[in-house]
Amino acid sequence: MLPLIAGLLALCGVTSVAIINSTDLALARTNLQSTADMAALVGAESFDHRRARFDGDYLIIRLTNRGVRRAVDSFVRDATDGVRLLSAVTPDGVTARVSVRTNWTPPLGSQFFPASFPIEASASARIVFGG
Amino acid sequence: MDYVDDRGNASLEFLVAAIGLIVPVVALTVTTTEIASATFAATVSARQGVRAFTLADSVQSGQTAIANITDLAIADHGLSDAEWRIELDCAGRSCRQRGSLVSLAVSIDVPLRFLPALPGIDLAPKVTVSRSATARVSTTSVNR
Repeated sequence: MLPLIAGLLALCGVTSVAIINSTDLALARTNLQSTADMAALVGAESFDHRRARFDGDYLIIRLTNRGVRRAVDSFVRDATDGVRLLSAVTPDGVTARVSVRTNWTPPLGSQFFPASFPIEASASARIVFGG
Repeated sequence: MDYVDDRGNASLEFLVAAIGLIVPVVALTVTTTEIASATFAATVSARQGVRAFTLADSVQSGQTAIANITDLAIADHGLSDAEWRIELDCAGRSCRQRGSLVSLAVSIDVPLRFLPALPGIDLAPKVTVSRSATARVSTTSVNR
């Protein structure tokens, strides 16, 4: 009977650790995606308003890689902790594309098996005026 | 030849083992699930709430939007009886100022229903989970 009880307890313990760790990983991934979304919005607003011009009912704006990078870098530095900006570019002059990375450490078991895994998230945003 | 006497009552042994082992495991599983649900609800509330606040017409309507989002997220995760509170931080600037950073922290109290209250202590056992998110007030919004 005792080996069966010990086996059951060990199985429950391992399963609990696995579930708690994977839940924490999912939450960390959601948080990082949220940061990427907000950073992409900041990047999409980084245009120079002095260079904006009207084309009919639309306001035409122009993003630059330098402007997007500077705005997103400032946001990531001020608003997050432990998040690193991988890239912040504009492939077409109106869309901001952002990639960020952070290291995830399992909340349980890391005392015995020190491990840290990088997770990444990307997001794109664009602003359309008029229409 | 020696042998181990294996006579016994299987039903009785099963009942004792079930009560002693399976019931605590089920209680632990349910509690862990509720804490995880509250954490997910707090994450969703913070993420969507701060975005709604930065898009709102006024501080009042922004706080109302946060409350509605938090209520909905908590109900969606089956925690309707959980207490919650929010904390807004605008980094020393006006929460309505274009370009200012707004941080929203959502805390949810999860009652530990399988843990009895301690005698003489008038506090129900609970676990508080908290999550936060940060967004920037739009620099191009026409609402302010």
